[in-house]
Formats: sequence, C-alpha cells, structure tokens
Amino acid sequence: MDKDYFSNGGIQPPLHFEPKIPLNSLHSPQELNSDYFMNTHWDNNSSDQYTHFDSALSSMVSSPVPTNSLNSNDSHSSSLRELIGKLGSICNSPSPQFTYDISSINNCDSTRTSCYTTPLNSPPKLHIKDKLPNSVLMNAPPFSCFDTRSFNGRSQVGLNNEKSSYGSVTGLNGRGNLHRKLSSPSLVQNKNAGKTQVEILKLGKISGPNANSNEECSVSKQVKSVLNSRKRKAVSKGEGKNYETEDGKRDKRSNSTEGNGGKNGSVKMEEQKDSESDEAEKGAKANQKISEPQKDYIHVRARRGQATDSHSLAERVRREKISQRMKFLQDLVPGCNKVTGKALMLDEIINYVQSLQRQVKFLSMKLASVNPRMDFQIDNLLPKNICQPNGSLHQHVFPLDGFGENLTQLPTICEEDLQSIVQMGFNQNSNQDLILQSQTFPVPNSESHMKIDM
Amino acid sequence: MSSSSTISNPDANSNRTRESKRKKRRKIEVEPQNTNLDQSKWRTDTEQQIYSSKLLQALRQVRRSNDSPSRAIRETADRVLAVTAKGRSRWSRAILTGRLSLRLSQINKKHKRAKLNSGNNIKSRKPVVKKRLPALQRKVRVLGRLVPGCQKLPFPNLLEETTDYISALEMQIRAMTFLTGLLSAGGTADQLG
Repeated sequence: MDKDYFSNGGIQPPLHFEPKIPLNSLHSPQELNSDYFMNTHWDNNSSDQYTHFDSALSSMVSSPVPTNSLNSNDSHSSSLRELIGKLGSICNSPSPQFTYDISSINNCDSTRTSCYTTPLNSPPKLHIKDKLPNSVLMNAPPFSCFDTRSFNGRSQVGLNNEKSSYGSVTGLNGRGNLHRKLSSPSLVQNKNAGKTQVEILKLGKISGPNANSNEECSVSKQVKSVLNSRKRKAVSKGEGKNYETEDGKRDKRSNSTEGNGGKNGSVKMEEQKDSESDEAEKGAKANQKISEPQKDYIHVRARRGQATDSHSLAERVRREKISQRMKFLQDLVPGCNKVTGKALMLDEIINYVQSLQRQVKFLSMKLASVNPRMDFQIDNLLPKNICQPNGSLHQHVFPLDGFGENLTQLPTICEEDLQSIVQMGFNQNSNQDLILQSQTFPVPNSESHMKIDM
Repeated sequence: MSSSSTISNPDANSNRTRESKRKKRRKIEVEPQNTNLDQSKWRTDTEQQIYSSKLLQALRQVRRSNDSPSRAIRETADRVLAVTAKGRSRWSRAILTGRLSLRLSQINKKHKRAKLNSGNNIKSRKPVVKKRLPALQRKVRVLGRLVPGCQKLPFPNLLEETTDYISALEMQIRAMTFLTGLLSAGGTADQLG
C-alpha cells in the first residue's frame, strides 16, 4: 500500500518517514489525498531537502486526482496561484513548504487546479541549502523523534475535530503538530532559528494582503504554530505558565475554524487573518515586541533574539503596561510631549499634580471669601447654575440681585480683596505654568512644600 | 446612588450625608479592581454640572472652622469630588473613608521622626549614609503621596490612578473657577449697579 503512494508522480521514496505516522488516520477522505497529491508536483520542483517531508505527505495519496473537479473554484485556484507565486519569490526555505502543505489541505478543490499550475509558477527558491542548513535539520528528523505524548494528544484533538470539518481543522492540527515538532529540535540546536522565524513571519506578512482568507489563515497559523513551538519549548523549561495560554490560543483558533469550516467562514477567517497578519508584520520587524492581547488573555511572544523565559516575558508585559499608562498621562499633562524618559515625565506629572492641587487651594480660599454670601438666597442660584454652566455671567446678574443688600453689610472682605485674591490666583497659575515650562522647579523643594501642605 | 441621597436630603447634616455616602461607597467597593478608569468622563459638562450643584449644597452645610475656612472648603470640595467619582477610583475612596485619620497618622509619624532625630543629634554626629533610592523610585514615592490613598500602590496602578486624579482635579478647578467667578461677579455687578 505504501508503494502505491510512492509510485505517484515519481516521488522519491521517503527515507525517514514511516507509515506509523498518525496522519494515516487523516487520509480517509479523498480530498485530502488529492491535496497531498499536489505536493508531489512541488516535490519535483523542490530540492532534496524537502522531498523527505513532502514525500511523507504524499504517501497519503491513495489514488490519482480526478480531473472533473479541476475546473471548479477558479477563484480559489487563482488566488492560490498568486500565493504560491509570491511564496516562490521569497527565499524562505521552510515556509513555502509549510504553506503548501497547509493550503493544500485546506482547499481541496483549488489544489486540484493548482497542482497543475504550480509548475508554471516560479518554484520556491532553494537557498536553504546555503543559508540555513539548520532548516534541513528541521525537515530531516523523522517523525519518530516527536514527543509522542504531546503529539498523540494533539493528534487526538485533530481526530476529534475531524468530524465537523475535516478539511481545515484536522489537517491544520495534524500539520501544525508536525511542524511544531519538526521545528523544535532544530530550534533547540540552532541559534539561528530566529532567522527562520523572521522569514516565516515575512511569509505571513506577504500572504496577509491576499484575498483568499483560507490559505492565509492557514499560512499565518502555520507561522504561529512554529512560533508557538519555539515559545512553548522555552516556556516549558521555565515555569511554563504561558503553556496553557498557548494551548488555549491554539484550541481557540481550532475551535473557531471548526465552527467556520463547514460554512462560509471567510469572514471570520479574515478577521483572524488580519490579526495574525498584523502580528506577523509586527514580528517581522526586528526588536519589536509581539504581544497580542486576545479577548480572553494576554498572549505574549518571545522577542526575537531575547530571553524567552517566563520571567522576562512577565517583565515585558509589565513594562508595556507602564508605558501605555505613561502615554495616557502624556496626553493629559501639558508639555510632556517633549520630554522622554520615565524620570523626567514623572517630574512633569508631579509638578502638574502639585500645581493643580495648589489651584484648588486658592479657589477654595476664594470660595471661602465668597461663602458668607452664599448663605443667603442660594436657592435662586441653583437651577440657573445647572442649566447654564458655561453661560455668561450677565445672565446671572439678575437672580443675584438679592445678594446686593447683604453684600454691603458684610465687613469681612471687600471687592478689592476679592479681586486681589483672584489676581493672586491667576498670578500663581501663571507662575506655575511658567515653572512647568521652564522645568526649574526642583523636586526636593516640592517635597517639603507638599509636606507642609499636608 | 450617593448622588440621589445628597439631593433628596438637602437640609440634612453634612455629617450624615457623608456617612450615607460612605455606606454606599462600601457597597460599590465590591467592584473588581481592574476596571478601566475612563478619564473622558471628567471632561463632560454634565459631570461639571453635577459637581457644581453638589458642591453648592455641601458648601451650605459646611461647618465654619475658625482657623482656616479655606481648608474646610477645600476639604469639602475634595469630598464632593470623590462623591462625584462614584467611588470607582482608589483616591476617591481614600478621600471619603479617612481624610482625618490619614492626617493624624501623618502627624504621628512626624512626631516620631522628630523625636528620633533629636535623640540622634544629642548622641553623636556620625556620618549617616543616607540610603538614597534610585531617582525613579523616589519620584514614584512622591507621586504616591500626592495622590490620596495611593501611597503604597504598585507603579502601573499608581499611574492609572494618577490619570484619573488629574482629570478629576482639572474638572474640579473648572467648576470651582466658575462658581467663584459667578459669585464674585454677582457681587461686583451688584456693587457697580
């Protein structure tokens, strides 16, 4: 039976992959087989390094692809062709391979058309041999090197999902597992794994703007799974507290695809694709944090070339929280835009809060002076006050006529004092503004001043 | 709501209204701590109107303290501001629950420090190496003391409280400026007229 698989399309016999791959369970639907059949054509174009992997996939092919369905879903095929062409133009070694596999699984119909068109498109360039020999390692190790425990678990998940929509979910899960496991040993060995990660992310970025959502969704998911593997590997060394979030995220995504697989899930897939492509874009840039706050939990990625233990990740999350809140404060506090750095901004904020509190104090002093008048006929004031908070003062003159008689009787403060207080308040305000602008107000003095106030 | 309590009892003693507010505040305090404090609410006119009206009501009932009427008014204004905040922010709760106790504790601390310092001066003049915290930490402490009730808060939470507090203070200043301008202008107009 295996020989039959191998005989299709002149595929090179897989040296490393054994039929004990649990993927056998996935090959029952015929469409999946056709997807794998497409890989054979790619195998012809790809280098020897891919053949091992691709041949394993192609081993699932049980029968030749029927030509009847070739003409269906032209749009899918065209978009897929575009995707493949773009992928081919990239010098990324492992990524095209991954994407081909995934997209093949997802689009049953389109693959049939595309498998005949891919040879026409530019094949994926094979710079891997030169640039990233480690990627070969990613492909080379046999499936048996997988961590069987987790792999079986994943495959079971894939199996469970098979019922609802086998096409996208199971294949994705299966492939995702495979890819994850494949990449992990190489990442352990290789320091340059980040390179592949970046390239994969670039792939995800380029695939992002494509129209068809399914492929890109799968592509970026594949990208994600590689990243997930890397992150999970690092986390498992440490506390592994993000482990559940990773799994939860994957399961969440799988569930969402599950729900949309059968129906027209393009909308939701597009949303996911957008978020993922954004993520991929972010990740593609060097030294940029990749943290995507999901609805349920905060998902943090290990930064490229940075430590991936949970402590530094938590620290990064904390730092991002702080910087986010400092940005809010920057908008509030005037004159904070020019200042950079936490210390200087804190200085500005402290000065501003102190100035505001001083303003409140002066205003309360003013109110205190005015307060004796408020005892009389304050009811007249209230309704008008509420209606027109920003109205001109002229409108309020009339209801305040009642005050006039009482005003002259008050010996406490005369108008000149009030005006002086007001001017003092304004002067103080302007002084504070000047102080803020010149930033000459020393902090220790403000401390002592504050103590006196308190 | 606390606002309804103040409006329904305009003639009640300020103490009683404060207590009722405090009780209602404790019920509200069950809210989760991670609520995002929306600072834009302080910019709205309605908030300012609410605050102004409440402030007027409260000012009518202020017990005139002879030593510093301005301080009494300032405290009233802060309390009304905290009430307007509906207890969602930590500083507002701190203002309402224990401003007096806070001041007393600070005075006690000052007394203790004074006693210690005097004792040290008498004994010896050893070069005391002051433990200087990093500049950032010092500033965080200062900010923590400025915002009421946020003295020992972790830094990100402190920043959140500060944003809300700054917006609230700005609204308070706007309302009080308007009130004082209103009242003083009323006075001047009558004097002129």
